[in-house]
Amino acid sequence: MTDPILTVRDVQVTFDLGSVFRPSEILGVAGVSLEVRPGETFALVGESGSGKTTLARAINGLQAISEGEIAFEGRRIDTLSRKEMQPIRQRMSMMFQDPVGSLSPRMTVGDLVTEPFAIHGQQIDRRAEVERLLSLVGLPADFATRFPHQLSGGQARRVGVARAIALDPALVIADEPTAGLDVSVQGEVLNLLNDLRERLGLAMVIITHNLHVVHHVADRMAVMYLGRFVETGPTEAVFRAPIHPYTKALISANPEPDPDRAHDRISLPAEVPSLLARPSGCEFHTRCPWARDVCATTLPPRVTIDGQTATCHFPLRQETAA
Amino acid sequence: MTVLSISNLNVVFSTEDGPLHALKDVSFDVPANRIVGIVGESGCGKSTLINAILGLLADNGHIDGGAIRFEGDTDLTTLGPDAMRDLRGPRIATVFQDPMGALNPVLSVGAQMVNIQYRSGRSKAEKRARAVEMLEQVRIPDAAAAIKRYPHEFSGGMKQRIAIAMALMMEPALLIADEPTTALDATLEVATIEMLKDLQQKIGCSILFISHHLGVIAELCDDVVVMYAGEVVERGTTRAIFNDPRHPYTARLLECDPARQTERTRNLPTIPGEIPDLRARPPGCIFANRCHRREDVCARPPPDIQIGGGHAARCHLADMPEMEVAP
Amino acid sequence: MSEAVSDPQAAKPPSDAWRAVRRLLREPLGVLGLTLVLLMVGGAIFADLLTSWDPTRINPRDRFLGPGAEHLLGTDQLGRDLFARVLHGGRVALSVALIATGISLVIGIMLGLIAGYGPRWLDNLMILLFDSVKSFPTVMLALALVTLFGPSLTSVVIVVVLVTVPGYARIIRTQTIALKNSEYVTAARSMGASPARILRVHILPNVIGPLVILASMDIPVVIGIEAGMSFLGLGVRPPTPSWGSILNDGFTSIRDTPWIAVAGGIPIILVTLGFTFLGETLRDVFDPRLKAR
Repeated sequence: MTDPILTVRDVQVTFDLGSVFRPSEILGVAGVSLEVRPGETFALVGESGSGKTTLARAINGLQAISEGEIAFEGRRIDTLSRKEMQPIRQRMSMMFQDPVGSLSPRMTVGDLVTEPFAIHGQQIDRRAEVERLLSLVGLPADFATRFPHQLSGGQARRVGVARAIALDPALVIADEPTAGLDVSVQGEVLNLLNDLRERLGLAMVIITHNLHVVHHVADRMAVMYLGRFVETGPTEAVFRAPIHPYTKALISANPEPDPDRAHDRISLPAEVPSLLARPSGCEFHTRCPWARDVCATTLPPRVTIDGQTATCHFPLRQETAA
Repeated sequence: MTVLSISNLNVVFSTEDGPLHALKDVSFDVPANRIVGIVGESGCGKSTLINAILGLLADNGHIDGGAIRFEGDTDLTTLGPDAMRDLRGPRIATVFQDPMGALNPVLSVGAQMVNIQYRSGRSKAEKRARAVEMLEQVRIPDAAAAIKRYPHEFSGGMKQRIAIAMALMMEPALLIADEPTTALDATLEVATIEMLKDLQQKIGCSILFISHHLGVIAELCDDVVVMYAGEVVERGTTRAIFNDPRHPYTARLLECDPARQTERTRNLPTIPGEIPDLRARPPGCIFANRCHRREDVCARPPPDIQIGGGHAARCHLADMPEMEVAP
Repeated sequence: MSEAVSDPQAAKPPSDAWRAVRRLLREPLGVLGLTLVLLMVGGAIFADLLTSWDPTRINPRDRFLGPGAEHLLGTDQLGRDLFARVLHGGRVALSVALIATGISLVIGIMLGLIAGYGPRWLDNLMILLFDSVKSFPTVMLALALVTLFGPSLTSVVIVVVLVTVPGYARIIRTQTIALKNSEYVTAARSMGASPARILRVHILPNVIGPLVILASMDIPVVIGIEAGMSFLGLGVRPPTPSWGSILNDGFTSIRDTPWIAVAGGIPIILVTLGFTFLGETLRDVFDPRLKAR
């Protein structure tokens, strides 16, 4: 097995709330660990407020961490200064949620896709490079003179992809790559990412709340709840037989476009608890349909079955799925 | 009886580069006590349609023929601004994607819910009781205490439920819900549509539900209207649309939904191409430039072909459903 | 609003600037403003061609002449040609306005960007500074500076800069703070862009437009300050012509020779109106959302 390209170990992110006089802080990411290997796609799944975007930003060095460590290509990066981080940024790029909003509005597409070269002071044949990048993401070369507001969501997303792969990185972090896109375009973007990954040998971390997206692109996935991983494992195994009740609820919560389908749905009562008042014991017990007394008092144990790991007192299955 | 009946509605915007035909010959009905879903992607004219119904078209837009009949004979396209204002709220209520559009941040939820009932002739105590009752109906915990709180004290999902409670408080005949669950997480989304369905049955109103999420439409709606580039390309019962789509666009759109692909695949289906420029509509079928079934006849305007049971599609080939091609 | 307005595939639309000009020319007030401004600018630039009189030449025999063919606007108490003085006074007013506004813009933008993008404590400090400067009444500030430096054009410019910089800096600061956390700025940070590059490439181009329009609407205020200070004898020194000093000359003899005060006052009014109309129309043309309904 190859060495992981990205290692995240026991990472915590805290946010300061309150004032100088009444300091208080909340745990946005509460100790998570993961590994991504070259060429692999790892998905972070969770509802809003689960800490998935915060974790992604921490990996990318946009968000300081308070505990743990992050290593990229064998080198610890969470302690680096902005200047020291500079060369790392050529090897690791990030795509942001809003396809149009993540593009600087007064720059042309040509300027946008070549900006990484400008930032890192690389001399290039601008015209040739713009043409190469646009054709990689399937946009005609004459798009180079357009501005972001003249692009549709799907086209803007392609520009974002082109920029993310411009410097030939080893890892791309994609925050909600299909957010804000029409259904007929979502597939295009996912196909493009899959295709580029194969051609360029990229590793990817995809952050999304859309489980259907995960199903089609990710090799492994982690389900986040209140800043912790409640379940991790190979995507197909997790979809086929989730261990944690939350995972099962999330999978069943996705309405399917079939009016005749009977919904054996697990409906989750109540809302996601506030990070300011984390529940005791298993943090999911306030919403879990299977919760019993012990769940409210005792931290759940870690259960591992066939490389699938979850933290739960009463896992939905005990042994290898048939 | 139909609550809302739209026939041959056309809306034109004047732009610097000439007139833009945003809605073209849009016709469909919202029958009493039913939930009608409108599906379409960006640029399909959903927002223009809602604004046309509500009489809130932008200054550069106007209705260029057609009728919007509400509760029988009233043609909304001929009503003056004052008469429209009296309808909006008590008779035609709205819920939008962002609930803060409906909630005033500086008033308590209770005060706002009491204010809405100003024309009801109820006493103050009755109005308050009604507000609490509505909050209970949308499952706000501890409703009696909740009415004293301000909008920012509620989570996004609760705010949207409060907005729904406010919209339905005057028991309107029609609720227009524009992507009300899009900003919510999946677990909240299903809870919200289930609640919406319950309330609709209790109150006995009709809902025009706009969404791009096919799963939500399939689950919630009785009838579906599919819009593309300002035209209704297909309409029918939810079952007919999802099980027997006759317009190639509907068929392709359904295929594209990743949720339909139960088997893991590396190559998801897409619809290549773009919506044509609405300032220069093609004379024939609006979808022809992206259609995989295009034939010579498609260069002529397609008729609305009736398939039966209210199912109709604006396509020359609607009578000839796509053959299942063996792979 | 229609959601389907623009299809990117459509034929190349005319450039934004050309559209703006076309829209400007469709607004009557904008055309009026533009005409007034162009008249003033033209008068100031071509002052020497439009009149052969020397604005500073004293001619005791021709004192207090009324308007006529020889002297279009008459002469003042020293027999100087008022038409020539008005045109050359326009030159002074315009150059003070452009120089002072230009300096204010540059300083205001720099301070605003630093306050908005820099650390919190620096921002707080700068806000305190802006507010302190702003809390001085303009006249007091002018008096204080003139006592220090003596009456001169430079004093006028310094007063104008001090008065306008805090406002500009605040606007830039607010917008910088709003954009600091926008996705495209975060995206630039994630690519490794330096703060200088982010400010120059990603923030400045997006905050400067509204400020320039605002500054163009401030030009009449600046002209007013210059005229006011010259009227009080704190600005331009005689014999250099200024609309304010013409007004002052006329003020003392307004009962007998009202045309002098009129000659000084009318251009101030017209130019103020011109720049205001033009600025407001420009604002509407470039940012229709701000248009008052």
